[in-house]
Amino acid sequence: MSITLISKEGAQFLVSKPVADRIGVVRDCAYGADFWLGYAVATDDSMGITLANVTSSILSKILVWCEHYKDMEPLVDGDSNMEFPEWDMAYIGHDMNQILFVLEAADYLHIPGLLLLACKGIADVLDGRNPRGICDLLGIVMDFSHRQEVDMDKENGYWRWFLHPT
Amino acid sequence: MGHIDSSLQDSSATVHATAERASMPASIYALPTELIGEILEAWQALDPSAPESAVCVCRSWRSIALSMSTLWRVLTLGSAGIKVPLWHTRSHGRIEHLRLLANAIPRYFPMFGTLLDSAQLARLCSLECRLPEWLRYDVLRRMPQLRNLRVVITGNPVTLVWEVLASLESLRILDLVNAYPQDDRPLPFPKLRVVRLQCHEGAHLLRFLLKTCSGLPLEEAALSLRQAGDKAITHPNERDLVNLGSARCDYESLRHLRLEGKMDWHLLTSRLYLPDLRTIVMNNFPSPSAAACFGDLRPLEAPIRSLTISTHDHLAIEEGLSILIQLEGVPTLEHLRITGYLSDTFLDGLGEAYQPNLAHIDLSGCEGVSPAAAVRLAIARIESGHPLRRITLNGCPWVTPDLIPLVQDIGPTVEYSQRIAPIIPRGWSNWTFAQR
Repeated sequence: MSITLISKEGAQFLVSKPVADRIGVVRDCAYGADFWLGYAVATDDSMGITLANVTSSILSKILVWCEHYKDMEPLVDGDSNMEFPEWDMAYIGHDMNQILFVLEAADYLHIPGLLLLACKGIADVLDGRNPRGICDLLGIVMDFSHRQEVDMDKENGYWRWFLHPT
Repeated sequence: MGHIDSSLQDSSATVHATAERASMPASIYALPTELIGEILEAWQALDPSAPESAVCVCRSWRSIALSMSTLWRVLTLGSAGIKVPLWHTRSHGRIEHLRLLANAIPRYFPMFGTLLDSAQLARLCSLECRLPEWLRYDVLRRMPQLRNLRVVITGNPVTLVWEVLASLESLRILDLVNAYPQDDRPLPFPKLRVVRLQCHEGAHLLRFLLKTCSGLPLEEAALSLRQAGDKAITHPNERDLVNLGSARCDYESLRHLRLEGKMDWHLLTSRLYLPDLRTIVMNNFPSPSAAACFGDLRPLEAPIRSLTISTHDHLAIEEGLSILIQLEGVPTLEHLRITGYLSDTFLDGLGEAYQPNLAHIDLSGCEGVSPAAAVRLAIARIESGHPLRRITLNGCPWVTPDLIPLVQDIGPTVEYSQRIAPIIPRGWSNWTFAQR
């Protein structure tokens, strides 16, 4: 049995059932759930499922992961300390923009194993960077309130503050 | 009915918000709070001090990090600051992992002690100590739940007196760097399963496994001879050999063994009985010792499934593996990883070797081999009736673009990337500050 997955742009991907079963949303769709929540829409009776929030490029990347793990039991619950095979680390890479898209899609599609892998990929990129470097990398604005800045000054100078609280 | 309507409205709003978010470019701002939390946990698994950086990124990250008490269970104390009360509050009184760094200033030690009193040491699971001044009975006896102890000493080595550690009855992992056992008396830790010792003296390493740990149901052991300037201490002298005795030492539960450094490891392996050994990692081995150790494999009669050899001494690899092949090796071997230098001749020999279960050969980083030899290896394994399922060629400078499809057409899957995986196999009990 095959299932057609339709990306945001309308591109169709014909996948086998074991591959599609890796995707939680699709798995649930096969049993008729999640339609009411609007996560996925069956286009016709031949199991075409539209994944309106996933672009073609990200969907094709995700399907590579699903194909690789089609014969394994899906991960139900993970751990941030779990280790990933070399293949996974090569797959996720270091392109922060793409990892963020994969993370978002893995969350939307309910794929816990891929979600943890994407978090690990992001953590690898963040590791060794200072807060300013992280802000520059991710386009984050340091938007602390005055009170938070005072708190942070106190924390960073906690040693001095502890010795000389006055 | 009203309840259903409002639920539908909520669902609709959620879907709408999700759809809106999807139309935005990839942005960290688009991620839900829970996902940022997952990222912070993954980051902390790499670097225990990551939460300290996370709270200084932006208002949102600060709020998320401060709301996750699990992030604050690792306390690192160095000269940068004493943060015990702060961490105590943020972890909701559950600091579980303590790191005492060597850059702490000695004159503040009394203050450390006062502050640590408030940290509820009784709940500590892991202690990484780089300050020998803190390895005292009166400190350690307050940590009855300690499962992991790591002592890392830089500079002059220290001697550990077991009486000082005697209160650590729950200890499971003991990791010593440049810290020697006081003597050959057995370790008083009945739950100990994993030991690691790195030091500059070969005799200490041998005695550690043959004497100090004997009788314990160890599952994993790693011995590493660190770079030593004096050759005399890397090789046991006559007196050391007499002290070692000739009795066989049984480790019936030991599954993983890692030996590293240039010394005569045959003195150790020839005395060990390891019926359940699954993985051997030999790193930076000298030539005669590797050959001798391979000779030990059969007498061990262990069901070894994974063998990793890493050395730039090509004689060590080729002599050692030749013995393995001649002896028809270890029939249970499934995974063979070689890092260093190999010749085509040797690889040809490996193709014809009798290893019925050998499914994966990892040549990551290997030099001296030609692409043609890799093709011949894949073909020879098929002709011998024991085809390979996977060949890993990560970081091999001799791999050409046309080689990968060529080998894959023959049968095995080829893994090829620029990144070479660490020598330590995955799944070993690595030192981590586990959150859960």
